[in-house]
Amino acid sequence: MRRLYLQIYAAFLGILLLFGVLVTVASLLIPLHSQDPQLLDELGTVLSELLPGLERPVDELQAAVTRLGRLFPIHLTVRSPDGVLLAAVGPPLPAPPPERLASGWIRARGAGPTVALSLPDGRVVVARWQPRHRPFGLLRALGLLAIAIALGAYPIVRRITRRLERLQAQVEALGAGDLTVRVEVEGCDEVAQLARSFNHAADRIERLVKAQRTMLAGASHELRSPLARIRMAIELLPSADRPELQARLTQDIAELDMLIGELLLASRLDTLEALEHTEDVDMLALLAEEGARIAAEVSGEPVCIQGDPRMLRRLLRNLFENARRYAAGAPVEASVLPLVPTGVRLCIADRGPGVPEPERERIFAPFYRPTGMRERGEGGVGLGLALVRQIARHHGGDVWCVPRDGGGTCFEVTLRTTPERPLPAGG
Amino acid sequence: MAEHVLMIEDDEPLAAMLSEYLGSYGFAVTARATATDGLQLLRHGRFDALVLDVMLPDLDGFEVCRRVRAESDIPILMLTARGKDLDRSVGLELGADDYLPKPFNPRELLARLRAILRRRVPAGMPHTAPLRFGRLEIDRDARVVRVDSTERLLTSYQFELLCVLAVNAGRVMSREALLDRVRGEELDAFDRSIDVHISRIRAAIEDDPKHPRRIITVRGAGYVFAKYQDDEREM
Repeated sequence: MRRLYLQIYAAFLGILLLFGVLVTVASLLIPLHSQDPQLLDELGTVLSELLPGLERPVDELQAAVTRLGRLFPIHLTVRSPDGVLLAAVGPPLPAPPPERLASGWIRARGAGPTVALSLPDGRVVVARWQPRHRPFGLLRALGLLAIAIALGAYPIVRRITRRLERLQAQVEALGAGDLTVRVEVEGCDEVAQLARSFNHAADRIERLVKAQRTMLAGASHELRSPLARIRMAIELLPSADRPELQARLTQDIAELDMLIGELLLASRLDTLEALEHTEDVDMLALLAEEGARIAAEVSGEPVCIQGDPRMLRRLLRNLFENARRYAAGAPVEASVLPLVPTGVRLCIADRGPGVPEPERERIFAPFYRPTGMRERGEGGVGLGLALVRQIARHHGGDVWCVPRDGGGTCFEVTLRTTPERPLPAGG
Repeated sequence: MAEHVLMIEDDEPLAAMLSEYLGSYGFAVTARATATDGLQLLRHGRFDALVLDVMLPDLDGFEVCRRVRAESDIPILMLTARGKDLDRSVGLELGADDYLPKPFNPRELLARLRAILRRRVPAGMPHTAPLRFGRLEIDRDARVVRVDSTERLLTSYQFELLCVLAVNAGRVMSREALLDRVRGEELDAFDRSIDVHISRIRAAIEDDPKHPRRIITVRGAGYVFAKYQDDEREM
């Protein structure tokens, strides 16, 4: 049983059932004749004073018994010490078992409380309470109590759990990226407190995300404005003075600009739940366009996917740039094939030195640079492949680094035609 | 007579350098650091173009663009250093004529400024927006192709072929699809003369026709016109 309100409700009913069982068992187990034997003996003595003695005529005894029957709602039977019926009001009650000499209660199915009293002269009086209005039995009362609780508990339990369900729905909506969701706070119990805490947390998250977005937009402005000034200043310098230095500076600015772009994109992708802008992208065309930058050999079939064209371009550019860096002059090969039924598989392969097996997964970690790269100041800051993976996953796919037959490395990328769901793993 | 450019840019050192740079190419530049000053000056002065920064201290550049466009058809070139991909489309939707992200190549800014000034069309004249890809401009009204504002010669058929490729930039176009869409000479799909036309276009517009980056051959599939090349930044 998964629903919380059903669990709580079932617990209520279970407790009631257990209570009923315990009461029944207790009433059966506790011996009735053990209750107050002295009191019953004294009651027998009082009764012997009220009834005519054994030596008196039976008619007189019958008259006394009848008078008692009128005064109290009881059936009464008087028997001689040897069990002979002497007088009775109401139907004659059975004699107590012969082994029962002392006064005590008699258990009788379906009858009211019955008691046997031994009189000092040896006679036995058996009396049964006969209420004029039959009161509720204990079990009936328990049954009614159970029904009342069962009816009353359901709406209470449902009310509590419905609030929890609403809270759960809002938590899920927040988790799915809707930062504006809040829960209506009802009452002042723990659930209300939980709702208040959730709203507080959601406020904080929304403020933090907004602050981060503002910071990212600001960071881009703050970092790129000085670059724009430097770029402009280079253009104003007389070109006759060290043109190679001007070209190098221009190249450095372009690299710095690209690095800023990558850092900002990585931060943005970390907080991005779903792609904000998608359109049809011809992956073969994009592969050819980006491949042309490094004279790669591109082949494949035209396949369109729904994706963010700028991010997909970044993905390919980073992979081609990576391949160019390690290809050592050998041509880079790239291909695109439809992945039946709902995806596309890209492969960008080089004839470089290859990636050792332990590093094939690590190279996708942010800021990871293979041994030797950091020392030689090559390979950027190690964000390129991390971005490739982030972008691929935002398009419902992934990227793997696999060794290539004949030497070199192949980066395989899968992407979904529509990026709602991830593609099955297995590069 | 020098064309007069109003620049609204709060980065004063950059504005000064840009003024000097554009001045060296014959432009008269007046710079203002706030939107309020810029808008006031624009209402009372006569300017041929507006270079507008997106992030200004007193007003968003997009809002400035909207206000200017409400009362003037002056060509507007927007500059931004913000990281948002949507800035470009928002700027163009609000009526900006072109858009350039910082840090930009000053020569590209010059080319774009010249392009938007050329585009000024007398009222009532039919006008088709030119196609612009980095340093390449295809003016479909004048049937002229320019790279860095310099005209490049193409035959009429090659110009049509280039237009079809450029309009479908970012898509692989098979030879058959190109032949279907290009009016003019009757060519056979198996006739390699389309490849000859493509090489001529490459010779006219590519920096290195042997390693083309604008019109790329996709083996077994056709040609693709690259949306972004040169040193354009698209991210």
